[in-house]
Amino acid sequence: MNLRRIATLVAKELREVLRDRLYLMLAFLLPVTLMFVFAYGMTSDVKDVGFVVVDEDQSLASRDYARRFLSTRHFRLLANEYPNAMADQALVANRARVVLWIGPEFGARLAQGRPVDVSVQIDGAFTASARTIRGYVEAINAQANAAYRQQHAAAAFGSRSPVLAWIAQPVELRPRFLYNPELRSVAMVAPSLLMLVLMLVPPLLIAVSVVREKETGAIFNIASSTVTRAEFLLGKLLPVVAIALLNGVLLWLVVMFWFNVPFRGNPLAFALAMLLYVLATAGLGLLVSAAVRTQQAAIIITTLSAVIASMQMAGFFAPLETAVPMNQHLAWLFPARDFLSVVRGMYTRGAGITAFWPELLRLAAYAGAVLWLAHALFHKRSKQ
Amino acid sequence: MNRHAIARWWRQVGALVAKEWRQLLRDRALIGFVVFIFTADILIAAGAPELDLKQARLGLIDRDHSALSRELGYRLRPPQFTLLPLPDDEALVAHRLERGELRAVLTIPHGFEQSLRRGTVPALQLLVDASDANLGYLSASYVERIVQPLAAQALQQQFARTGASSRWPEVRLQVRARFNPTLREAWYATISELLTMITAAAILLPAAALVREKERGTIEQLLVSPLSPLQIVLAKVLAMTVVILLGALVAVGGVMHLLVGVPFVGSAWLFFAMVALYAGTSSGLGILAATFARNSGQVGLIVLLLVMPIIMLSGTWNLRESMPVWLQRLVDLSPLRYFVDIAYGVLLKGSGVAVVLPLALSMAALGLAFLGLGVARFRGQFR
Repeated sequence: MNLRRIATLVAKELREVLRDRLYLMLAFLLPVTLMFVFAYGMTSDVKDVGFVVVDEDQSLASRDYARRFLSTRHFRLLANEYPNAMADQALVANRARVVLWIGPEFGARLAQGRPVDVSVQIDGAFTASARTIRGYVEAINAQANAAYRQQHAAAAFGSRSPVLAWIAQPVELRPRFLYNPELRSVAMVAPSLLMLVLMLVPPLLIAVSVVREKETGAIFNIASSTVTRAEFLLGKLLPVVAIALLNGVLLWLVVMFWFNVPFRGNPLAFALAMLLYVLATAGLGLLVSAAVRTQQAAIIITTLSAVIASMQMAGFFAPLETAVPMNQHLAWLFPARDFLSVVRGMYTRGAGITAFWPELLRLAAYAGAVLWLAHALFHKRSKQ
Repeated sequence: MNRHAIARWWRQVGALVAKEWRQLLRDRALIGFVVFIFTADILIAAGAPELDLKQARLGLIDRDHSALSRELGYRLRPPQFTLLPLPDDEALVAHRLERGELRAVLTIPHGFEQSLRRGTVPALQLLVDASDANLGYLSASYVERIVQPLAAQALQQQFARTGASSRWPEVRLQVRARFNPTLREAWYATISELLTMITAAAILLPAAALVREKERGTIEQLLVSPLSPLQIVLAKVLAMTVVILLGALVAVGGVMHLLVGVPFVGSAWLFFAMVALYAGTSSGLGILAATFARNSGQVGLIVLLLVMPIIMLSGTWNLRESMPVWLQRLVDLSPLRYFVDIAYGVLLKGSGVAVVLPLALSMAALGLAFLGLGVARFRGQFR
C-alpha cells in the first residue's frame, strides 16, 4: 500500500466533490434538513386528536366527564359533525381517532355511588397511536375517578375529614424521570436521528461514487494503473468518512444547541463511537457497490436497506425486545442497533466508555469485517 | 390529431415502456431487490417491534418486607414487566440504568404497609429511564395501574373492618380498538412497510432511470427520434406504475393476506386502482426531482431529501394532527398523506368510494401538477 497514491486518489475525490456544487451542498444540507424536519415532525406528543362524544345522558355529570378529556391539549372535539347514530363513521372517515359513548344513566348512577360503564372506541388501525391514546384516556379516567371518590367521601364524612386525600389516592407513586425529566419527545428523537442519518448518507455517497466509475468506465483507468484495490477503496472511503464525520458533528451541535438536548457523556468516547459507526455504514456502501453495476441499483439498495435497518432493526420507534426473535437476530446484520444503544447511553444518559465497551468493540469488529468483505468482493474489472 | 395518430402515439409509448422493463429486468441486482421489498421485507415487517412494554426489566428495592410489598412485587410481572429484585445499592442501580439494562426501579419504603393501614398516604419512589420518553411514560403509567388497584383493595378491607360503607362511585372504561381489536402490530406494520417501499420505489426508480439517460447522453438519442418529451416521461411513469402494481399484488394478496393474515375488508378493485394512482403520482414527483439533477449522485441525495420526510411524516409513523401547523401544511403536499388514509381505510376499515374519492382527487391533482411541472422543465432543458 502506497500512502502517496492514496493521497492522490483522495485529492481527486475531493476535487470531484468540490466541483459538483449541488452535490456538495446537498451532502451537507440533507442531514441537517432531515434532522430539523424529523425532530419537529416525529413527535410522539398526543395533541389535537379528533374526538367525538356521544352523550346520551346530557346531564351535568356527563358533560363534566366529557370536559375532562376535551380540556386537555390532547383532544379536540368534533362538535355536531357526526350525529349519534353516525358517530363511528368519524373513525372510518379518519376524522376522529376516539369516540366516547356515555350511556343514559351516567349521572344518576354516579350520584348513587354506583359504578357505571362508559365505552370508548379508538382507531386501532394505527397501533402505536392507539396504544398511546388509550394510555391518555385511561389516565384521564383515573383522575376523574379519584375526584368522584373524593366528592362522595366528602358527602359521607364531611369535607374536612383527613380521610379524603387518602381515598382519592391511597398510595402516592412518585416517578422521577431520569435523563429527560420533562419527557420531551425531541430529547429522545433528536439524538437518535444521528443513528438514522449516518446510516442513510455515507453508504449512498460511497456507493454512487464507486458505481459511477464502473458505469462510466472510468474504472478502467484504475484497472490499467498500478493502484491496488485496497488503495482505490481507501481513496473512496476516506473522503466519505470525512464528510460523514463533519455531518455527524454538525448534527451533534444542532441537537445540543438548537434542540437543547444536553450532552451528558464524554465527547471523545462519543466521537470514537461515531467514527466506528461511520466506518461501518460506509463499509456497507462499499459492499453494495461491489454487488451492483448501475447507479440506479446502488441508490435504491443503499437507501432502502438503510431505511429497513434504522427503522425496523434498531429499536428507534419501539424496543427491539418486543420484536419476534427472528427479527432480533436479523438486527445483528446492521450496526444501527449497537450505535443506537450507544447514543441513548452515552449521549442521553451520560454513560462512560466503560459502560459501553461491548458495543464499541462490536462496532469496531463490524466495521473491520464489512470493509474486509468489501475488499474481498470488489474487482477493478467487472467479470462480464 | 386523428385516431391513427393517437394510436401511433400510444404505440410509441408502449415501445418505450417495454424498453424500460427490459432495462430493469437486465439489472439483476436491482430486480432482485425489487422482488425482495415486496416479499421478504414485508414478512420481516410482520415481526416488527411494537411500542409497548413487554417484559421490561423493572428493578425492585423492597425496604418494607411486608405482606403488601410482597403482593405488589408479585403483581409486577409479565407480560409488561420482568421483576428483578435489587440489593439496596445506589452505585449498582445507577450503573445498570446507564447501561439501559433497567427500564425503571421501584423502591418500596420502610413502613409502607403500616402507613397505608394507618391512613396516611405512603409514597413509592419510581426511578424511570426516560431516555426513551415513550417507554418512560408507559413504565410509569403501567406501574401506577398496578399499584392503585392494589392499594384500593387494601383500603376496602380496612373499611370493611371498621364497618363503613365501601361502595364508591366509579367510571369503568370499556375501551375497544376498532379495525384491529387486539392491536396486532403485524397488521399495522406490514401496511406501513408496503407504503414505505412503494413510495421509495415509485420515486426512486423513474428518477434514477431518467438521470441515467441524461448522464449517459442516451436521452439525446431519444429526443432526436420522433418522440415528444411527454412520451418519454410518460413511458417511465407507466413502466414503474405497472411494476409497483404487480409488486403490491404479490405483497398484499400473497404475503400480507395469506401469510400474515391481514384482513382485506374493502374492495380489491378500489384498492389496486388507488395503488396505481399513487404509484403514478409518486413517479411524477420522481420525474420532477430528476429534472433538478445532472448526475446520479445528485438525484440520490435530492430523492432522499424528498422520500424520507414523506415516509416519516405522512401519518404512518406519527400523529399527523399533532405536528406543528407549518409542517402539517407542508405534508399536505405529500401524496402519501392521502394514500395512508386510503390504504388503511380500504384494507382495514372497509372505506368505500365516498370516503376515498376526495382523497383520491387531491392526490390526482398533486400527481398532475408534479408531472406537468416535470415535463415542462424537462422540455425546457432539452430544447
